[in-house]
Amino acid sequence: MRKNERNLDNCLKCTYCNTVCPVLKANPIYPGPKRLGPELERFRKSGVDSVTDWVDYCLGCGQCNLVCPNGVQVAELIAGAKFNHHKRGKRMMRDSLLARPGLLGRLGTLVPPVTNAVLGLRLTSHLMSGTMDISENRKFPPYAAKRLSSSPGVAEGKERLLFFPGCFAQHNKPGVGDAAIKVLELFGYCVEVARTGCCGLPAMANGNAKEMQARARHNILSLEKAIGGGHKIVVACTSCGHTLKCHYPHLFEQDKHLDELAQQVAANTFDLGEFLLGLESQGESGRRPGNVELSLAYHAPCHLKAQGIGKPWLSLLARIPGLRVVDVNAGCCGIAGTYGFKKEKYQLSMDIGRDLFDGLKKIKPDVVVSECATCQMQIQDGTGFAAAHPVEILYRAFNQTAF
Amino acid sequence: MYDVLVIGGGLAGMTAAAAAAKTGARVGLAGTGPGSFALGSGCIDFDGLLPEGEGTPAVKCLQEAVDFFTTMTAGAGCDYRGELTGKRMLPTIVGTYQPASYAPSSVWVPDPALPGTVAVVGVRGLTGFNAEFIAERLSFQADTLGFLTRYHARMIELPRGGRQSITAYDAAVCMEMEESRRELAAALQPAAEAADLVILPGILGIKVTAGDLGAFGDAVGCPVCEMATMPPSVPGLRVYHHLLEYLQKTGVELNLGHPVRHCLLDRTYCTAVSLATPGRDRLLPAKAVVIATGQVVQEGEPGAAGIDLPFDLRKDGIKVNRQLQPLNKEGAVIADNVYVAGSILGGNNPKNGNAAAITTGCQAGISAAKVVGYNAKK
Repeated sequence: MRKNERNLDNCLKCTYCNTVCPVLKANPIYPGPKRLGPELERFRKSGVDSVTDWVDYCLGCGQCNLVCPNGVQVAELIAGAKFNHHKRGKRMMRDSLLARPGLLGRLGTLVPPVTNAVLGLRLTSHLMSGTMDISENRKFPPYAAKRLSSSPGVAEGKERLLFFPGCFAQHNKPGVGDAAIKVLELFGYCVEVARTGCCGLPAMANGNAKEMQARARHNILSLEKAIGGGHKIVVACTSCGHTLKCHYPHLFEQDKHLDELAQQVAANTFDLGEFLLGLESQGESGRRPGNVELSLAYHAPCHLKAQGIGKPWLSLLARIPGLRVVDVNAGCCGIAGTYGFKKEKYQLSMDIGRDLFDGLKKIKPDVVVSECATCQMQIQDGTGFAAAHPVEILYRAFNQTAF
Repeated sequence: MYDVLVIGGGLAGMTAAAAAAKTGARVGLAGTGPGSFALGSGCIDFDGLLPEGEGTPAVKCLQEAVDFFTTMTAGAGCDYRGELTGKRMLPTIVGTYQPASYAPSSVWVPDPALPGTVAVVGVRGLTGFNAEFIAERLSFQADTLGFLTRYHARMIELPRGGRQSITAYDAAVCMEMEESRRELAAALQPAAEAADLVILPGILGIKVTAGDLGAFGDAVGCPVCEMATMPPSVPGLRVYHHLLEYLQKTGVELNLGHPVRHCLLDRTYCTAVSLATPGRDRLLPAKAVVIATGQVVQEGEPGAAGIDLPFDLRKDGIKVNRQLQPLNKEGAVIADNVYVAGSILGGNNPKNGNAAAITTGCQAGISAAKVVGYNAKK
C-alpha cells in the first residue's frame, strides 16, 4: 500500500469521509472511516493494540477515498487493518469460504443441477446459518452449466481483445458474458475469454491478504502474454475492473516483474461501458440499436464511481430508441459482495440500501440495470424488481435490427 | 467535449459551473471534496471587499454576483438571507458573534441588538455543543456590545437518541425523517413557550429543504435557528448537498473524486484536462476551463491547478489580470481560455473567502462561457 505510507499525514480531520459512508449513515454506532482509517492507523503503525471488529463492517465501497480533499486512501487503510484482523470459529470458516468464490464456482459448476437443488433446500440455508453464520434470508445465485466461449478463430484484420469474465459471468450467469462478447464482436473485435479466475476482491473484503495476492498473481501471469501483445482487457463487472485498476498496482512492491506487469494490467483494463463509449466517441458506432420498449432505472455501483469514468451506460443506453432510462442516483445498495450474506450484517445491508429501494419504488421501472452482479441481487431482494446488466439490454437492442 | 470544464468542487467551482451552465454552455465539473465552505455555516461576509460608495460599478458587479447566487440557492432549496451592504451578528458555538452579510436562512437569526429572549437548546449526548457555556458567553457579549437580546440555556433529550454520545451528523441523519422532526418539535415546546427564538445545534437534516425547515418552525411555534458545529457542519453540508443536486438538474456533468493532473496547453490555449483516475489518466477535452482548486494542494500533484505555474500556490496564489486569466512572472496571460476563481487567487482574507468565491466564481464561469460564444442571460 505504497500510496498510504506517503499520505497518512494528509488527513486534515475535515470528516467529509464520514458524511459519505453508507455504513455510518445506517448505523451511527459504527466508528466511521475517519476513526477506523487514518486515526487508528497511527496506533496500528506504532504497534499499539487497536484491534476492533468494526473494521469488518467496512463495505470497501471506496466513497471515502473519493470525497477526501487531500488524497488519503481511507478505504485502503481499513482494508489493511482487515488483513491483520484475525477471526475465530464459525466466522473464520465462513469468511475463508466466501473469500474464494472462484473455487466455489468451480465446484458448483461440476454438476450444477445438484448444486442448485442442494442450495435451494431450506435445510441447506438452515445449516449454513447455524454452522457458518450465513443469513437465511439470502439465496445463493444458481450455478450454470454453460461455459463462456471466445470468438471463433482469429479473423483477418480484426483487433483482439481479452474479456476478463469474473466469477459471476463465469459460473452463475454466462448470459452476461455472452452478451458482452457478442456486442464487442459487433463492433468488429475478436474476443478471447481470458483464462483468469476470481479477481481477488472477495478475498480482500474478507480480510485474506494471502488469497488476494495469490489470485492477483495468477491473473496477472495469465494476462502477461496478452499485455505483451498490446491487447486490451475488457471487464463487464465493475468490482473486478476496480480491483484490476486500483488494487493490483499496490500488491507486488517486493517483486519488480509482477509489479510492472500489474501496472500494465491496470493501464490496459477497460470497463465494458467505458470501452464501448470510447469507441463511439471515436466515431465507430457499430450496428445501430433497434427499438426496445422498456422503462429502466439505472443504479451506478460504488466501484464504478471509484473508477472515475463517469456513468458510461447512461450515454450508451440513451442511444436505444424506445428505451426510457432514469438514473436513480440514490447511493450504495448495501450488499458489497459477500458482506450482505453474513448473518450479523444482513439487516445492516438492507438498511443501507433503503434509500435506493425507495428511489426505485418511486420510479417503478420494468427492469433495473446495474453493472454489478451483487448490486442486482440486492435490488431484486430489496424491491422485487427484475435486475440485469445493461449490456443485456444493449445486446437485445442490437438483435432487433436485422443482420 | 465540454464547452466549459470547471476544476474544483467547492463554493467557487460550483458557482462557476452554475453560472456557465445558465448561459446554455455544456459544463463539466471535476474536483475532490466539497472544499472548505461546507465545513462552516455557509455564511458569506463581504468584509473588506466592498468598495467605498454605493452605486459604483464595482458594487453593482458584486450585487449581480450575489443576486445570481441567492437566486441559485433559492432554486436549489437552500435559500439565503441578507443584504450586500448590511451586516448581521450571528451567534457561534463558542459564544461569540460572527458578522455576516448573507447566511443560509436556517442560521440567519433576528438582529440581536433588538430586545428578545433566546433559548439556546442543547441536546443530551451531543458532543461539541455546550448550551450553558454558549448562553453564558453570548449574554456577556450582548452586554458588552449593548445588545438587548438575552440568552438562556435549555437541555432536551433527542427523540430516538438513546445513546451516550452522538455527533451533529448522526443527529442530522435521524432528522431527515419528517417523523423525527415532528417529535423534536414536540420536545422543544417547553423551551419555545418562554422564548422569541430557539437556537439549536445544526442537526436538522442534510437533505431537508428550506420548505421543510419552515414547516418545522411552524410546528415548534416559534422561529428556530441553527448553529454550525464542529465539522461536519450540517448547515454547510446541507448547502453543498443542494447545490450539487441543483448542478446535476441544470445539466452539469460531475466528475468528482479524482484530482487533476495536468491542463494540456497548446501554446496559450488549454485543450483538455487530465484527471488522475485509476489505471490511466482520463482526458476531458474542453473549450474553456475554470480553475477553482482552492488551497488544499494534493501532495505529489504538480500544483492543484495542473499548470506549471511560476508561483508557490500555497504562498502566493495565482496572479491574474482583471478578467481573472492566469499570468506568468512577466505578466503575460498563460492561457487565453482559462479563468481562475476562489481562494487559489492570491491575497485571501479568511473573513471573506466565501464572498470572494461566489463573486470570482460567477465572473469566471460567465467569462469562460463567453469564450465559447455563450452570453450571460439576465
